[in-house]
Amino acid sequence: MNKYKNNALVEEMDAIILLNDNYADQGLFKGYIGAVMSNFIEKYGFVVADFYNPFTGKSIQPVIEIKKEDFRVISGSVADQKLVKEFKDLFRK
Amino acid sequence: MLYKLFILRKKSGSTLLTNKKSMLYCGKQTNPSGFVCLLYFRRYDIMGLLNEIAEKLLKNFLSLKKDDWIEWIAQPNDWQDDCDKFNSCYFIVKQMPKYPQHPRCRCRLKKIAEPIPNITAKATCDIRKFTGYIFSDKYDDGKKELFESWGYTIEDSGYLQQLYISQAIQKYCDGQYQYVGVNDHSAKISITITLTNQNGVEQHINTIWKLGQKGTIDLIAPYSGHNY
Ligand SMILES: [Zn+2]
Repeated sequence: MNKYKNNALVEEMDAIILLNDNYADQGLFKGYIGAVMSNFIEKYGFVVADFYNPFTGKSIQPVIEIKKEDFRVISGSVADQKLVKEFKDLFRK
Repeated sequence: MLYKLFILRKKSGSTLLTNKKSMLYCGKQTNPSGFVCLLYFRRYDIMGLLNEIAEKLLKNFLSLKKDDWIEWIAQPNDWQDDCDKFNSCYFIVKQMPKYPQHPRCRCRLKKIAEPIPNITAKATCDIRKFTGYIFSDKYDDGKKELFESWGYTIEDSGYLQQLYISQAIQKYCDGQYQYVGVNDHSAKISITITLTNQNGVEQHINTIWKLGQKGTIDLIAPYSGHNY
């Protein structure tokens, strides 16, 4: 089992992608990508993450709890890097 | 030899290669004197090793020293790697991403002057990194207690924010940072922040920042362990 299959193993600074619109009221949508600050999955069932505009660096949510079922860890695979590109394209001017 | 490096005549000079069929064109660089370097690899060579060699050769060719600063100019591309995560980022040569990033990388390195804090470089740090994270009562992970043991409380969040910003931008511009990689859409660096506790004892802590365009850095993780 690794962090790409088991969210409980996610590490600090890993990139995660949202799987749904459960955080839409906070400006985060399915496909948004953020960086993990702390893994509290064992204790509380969520990670604390930072989501920001990939071009300006401006925070969308600098500290937000994301439940373990609402994300997965982004890998270096071609398919995942395509998702990163798609996320960036949302903000490209 | 696993590689061949060709430093050619002035721009527009024709290639000196004779056996192009067995070679893979991997990039072109221009040095400040206007000379062009074309880099070809044998098709069957191992790219990892070649990248290492190519990196050294290209940096050499560009006459970059380890304390020089560069702006990474990414070229738009459609293939798998996405170099535009580095586009317009400023790096000191001794702490920059691998270059070239991948075969056929067409990114350029532009030599720039050392960034100047708050003039050509800027740091930002959201106060919620302290109020909603370090000093949050919700997370039982010891960060709050640690900062409090040094004499800081949630009331000091604004002070810590300013302290982080001023130390980080100075250290970044002095090249006192570590490039820690990229796994999403932004390059990340680590910077040691020094906090002084009530007894005057200094605490050196690791912090993680994302690199933005044109000398901007933004705090991601305000505490990522101690740096003893
Ligand atoms: Zn490139």
